[in-house]
Amino acid sequence: MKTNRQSILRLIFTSFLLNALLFLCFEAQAQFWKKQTDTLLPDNEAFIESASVNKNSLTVIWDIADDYYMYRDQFRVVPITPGLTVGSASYPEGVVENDPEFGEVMVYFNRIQYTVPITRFPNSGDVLEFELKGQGCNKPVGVCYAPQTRLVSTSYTKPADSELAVSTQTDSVPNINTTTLNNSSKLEKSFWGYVITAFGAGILLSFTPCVLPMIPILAGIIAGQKNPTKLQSGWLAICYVIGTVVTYACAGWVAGASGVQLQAHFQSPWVIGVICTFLIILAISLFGAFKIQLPSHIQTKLGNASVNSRSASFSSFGLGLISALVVGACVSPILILTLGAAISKGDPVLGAAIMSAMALGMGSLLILFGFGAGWLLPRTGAWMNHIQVLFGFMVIGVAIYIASALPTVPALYLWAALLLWAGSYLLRFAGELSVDLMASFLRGAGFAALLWGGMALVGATGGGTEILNPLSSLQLSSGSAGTQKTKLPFDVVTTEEQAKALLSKARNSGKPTLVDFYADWCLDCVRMDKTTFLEPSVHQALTDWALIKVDVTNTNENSEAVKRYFDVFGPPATLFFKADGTEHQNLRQYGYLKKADFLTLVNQASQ
Amino acid sequence: MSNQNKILLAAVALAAFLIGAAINSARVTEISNASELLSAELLTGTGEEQTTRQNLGKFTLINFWASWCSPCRREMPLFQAVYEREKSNGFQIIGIAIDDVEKTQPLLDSMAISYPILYAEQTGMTLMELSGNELGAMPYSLLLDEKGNVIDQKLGEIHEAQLTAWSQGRVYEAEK
Repeated sequence: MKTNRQSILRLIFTSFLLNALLFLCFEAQAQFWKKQTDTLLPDNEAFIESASVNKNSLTVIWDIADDYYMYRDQFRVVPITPGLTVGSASYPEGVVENDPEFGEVMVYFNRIQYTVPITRFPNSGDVLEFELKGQGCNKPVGVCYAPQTRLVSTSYTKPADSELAVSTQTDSVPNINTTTLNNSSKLEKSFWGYVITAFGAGILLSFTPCVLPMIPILAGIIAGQKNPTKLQSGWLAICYVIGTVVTYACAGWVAGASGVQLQAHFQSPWVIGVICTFLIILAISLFGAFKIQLPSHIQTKLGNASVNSRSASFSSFGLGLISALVVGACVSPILILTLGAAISKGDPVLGAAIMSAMALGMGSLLILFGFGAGWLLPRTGAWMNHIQVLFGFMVIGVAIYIASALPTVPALYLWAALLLWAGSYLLRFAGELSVDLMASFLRGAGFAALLWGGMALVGATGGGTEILNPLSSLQLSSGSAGTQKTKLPFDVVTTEEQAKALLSKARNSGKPTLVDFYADWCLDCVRMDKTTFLEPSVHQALTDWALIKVDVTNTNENSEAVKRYFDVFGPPATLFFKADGTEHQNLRQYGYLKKADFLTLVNQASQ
Repeated sequence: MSNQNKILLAAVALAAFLIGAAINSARVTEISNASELLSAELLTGTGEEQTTRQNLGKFTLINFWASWCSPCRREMPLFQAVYEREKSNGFQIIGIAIDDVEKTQPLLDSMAISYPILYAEQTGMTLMELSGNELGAMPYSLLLDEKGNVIDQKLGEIHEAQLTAWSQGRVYEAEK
């Protein structure tokens, strides 16, 4: 027992060590590439505008981050509301900077407050809209930001001659309540209604490829135990599921409290890097690297079962905690839909409850699997060691699957290496067996793995990426040059106005329109660009379509406005519009669409 | 420490390094892709359409700037001086002005800039973002080889030592 406990402690220790190293390497290399952008703020954080109307004047405040400054000569107030006019501004004294071309210019650090007289109010209405313009720079780095234009709307009660009461609200803060008013029927559901729906959604999700990668992980954990009883392996599965529940609950809490879109974080290379690290550690331990150390004790280790199972429970819990992040990447479009209610209510408790219910739903299959594994796994002997190694290969496979979401990971090479390795292992394993039937089965499996690995290697050298179709790249290049895959001719837009303009253009020319929400950080979006949207058959099907790609890579007022306009929570989202400009609401999709599914949708939309 | 532990640690360190490298190369290749920048049709001061690709030299510095950006204006006389000195060796400088001709021409005249300037107002911001400068801040400069591959990039003012290194196609090491 001692060995096993030690090995688990070591597992935890090494994972910390590995992550520390990973962090160091990452940072050191990031330093090497010296991305100074990390130390600079985005413009909407460096310069924060606000405005209020007081009697007959508008007070404009720019809060400026430390080390940043703004130019006096670049400030402007442009009245937007019809009938509204303003006079010229009076500015306080600032700091004089020497400019190589323009001589001395006045700039402001930290904060600038100035007033503009309102010379005429509109005849009706109770909201004043202004555009505030300004331009600034970061002094120590020596960079300037493009001129900023911020729309602010100020509500005021119609002035008698006396005071104008005022509260302001800037447009850069997304106003979630108004965006979801049209969904108010959905909001009528009770707390428990949401929770039960989420649990059901979770159960449905457990049969998708999003949850299935968790099974080898869990199997690896269980197989890593010597002689687990049925109850023990079931318990490990429960610990694992509790781990996923905790992660989801936190994510739900954050979403409810802040409305932050979680997807971007779930799919970051960081999360993927950390989970792959943990999986590789798990695989190494399954290969026996942690246990060979004290071989004589392995025989006698059925000692302190409670200590062992406690540590195992913890590692199972921990792996659940982190693997939930990865699964989140896959189901997040549905997550975001489910969470829409919590986000719109701004209710962190509801958010946490919805997410935990969903995680429990997804976990029910895993728990069943855990108890089942207790029945099925062999008890003793050399078999167990081989089974562990095979699970180790599967866990590495999961790691490769996860890592292949990153566009630069040479996934097919890794698959080839894994398959060749696993294939030769299977052949050796078969050689040890005395039972002919089993040995020949394993030999067959081994040869199949070698063959597949070989094809993967060949495909990889040809630039292929897909393990399920390793030679696809070769078929392509052996065809005529005309089959060269090209991108779909999307019109890329970033603002609501641009999207509206293109939609109405399509309507005028009688074309149906495809609207694709995209972001660089959305791996599923990138994947769709690289697979589905390159398929000649997809090009064919979309010949007569107007194609709009809404790029929401940068989160700002424009991206929020355009998401609100289409009532889309975030990418990847695929929307189909009829030639008359109305949307096929029932065909709207969130998440990755493979060729067949996409073509079916296009066909339905074309009918 | 037993042998197994040593091997394990070595494996761990190697894995960490490889993962770090993979993650970073993911970031770096992502930010160093200049293909859009090379093929975009931009306008010259006289209204002709040109791409940066057709202006590439043996090594090319592409500098995003604007009249309202004082650090940009501060570095341009230095660019001009090094351009005069190194252009016979194949060093090219292309200024991409995120601005209009009326505002920039007086500045270009007073600084006697003779390297090519291309104009790209809003497109320029997008190109800058696509070529790795997500913040849209300026000045932002890229060093490309003759095929248009990105060798180095810099957000912020470029100083003489760095510019000299760049003019010979070298990454400037002192700051890295």
